Amino acid sequence: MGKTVHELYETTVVIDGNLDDEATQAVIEKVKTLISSLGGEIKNITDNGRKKLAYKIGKLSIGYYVHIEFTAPPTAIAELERQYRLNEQIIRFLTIILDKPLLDIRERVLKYGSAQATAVPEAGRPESQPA
Amino acid sequence: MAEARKIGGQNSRNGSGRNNDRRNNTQQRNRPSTTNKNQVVFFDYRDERKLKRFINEQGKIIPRRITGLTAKEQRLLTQSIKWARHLAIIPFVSDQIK
Repeated sequence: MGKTVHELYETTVVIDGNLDDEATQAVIEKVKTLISSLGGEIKNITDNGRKKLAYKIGKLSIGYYVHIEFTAPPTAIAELERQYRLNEQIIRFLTIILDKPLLDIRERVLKYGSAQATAVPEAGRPESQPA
Repeated sequence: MAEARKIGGQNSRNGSGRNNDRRNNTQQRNRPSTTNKNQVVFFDYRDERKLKRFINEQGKIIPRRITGLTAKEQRLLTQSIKWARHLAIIPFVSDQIK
């Protein structure tokens, strides 16, 4: 019974929005390989593209948002976040456990969200917020 | 609200009937009409537009008494809003106020 329990996580990475597409993809690729090398298994990737930040982080006002769902042993998370901190192209990150209530409400969003005229955000679409 | 609480306090020792009436009244008054059981509430920390409904112009979290969410939902909402703020999806303090 030496097998560790894998938990379902979601990590959000905000990448410097001033990087060109190639460099951005390179960062995403790096994160993906990092997760797999730490014994994680990627389930789903949501690429929300460039968005205007709600406030400036350092001197940046644009970020590139990527959400990655994955399963991994809990010990991998500390190392993952340590690597995030070392990477200067990543300006913000968040890793959360996707537990039942969170998944439930996400399901509701999928089910009823489109009715509220807020479609699922497409990748790469510039964020234009109505007042 | 204040009045109801005062009366409740006075009556807490004796008859509970009136107390209950009063509490029911306040609950009815406070409950927002949008909180029907079939109304589905949802939000997602990854989407600004789905959180906008639950923060005021200043960027503050709207209390449960107004949103009409259950305690569980409100807890998740609060957490989601804080995650979103950290990721710069929604502001800590709105630009208009600064």
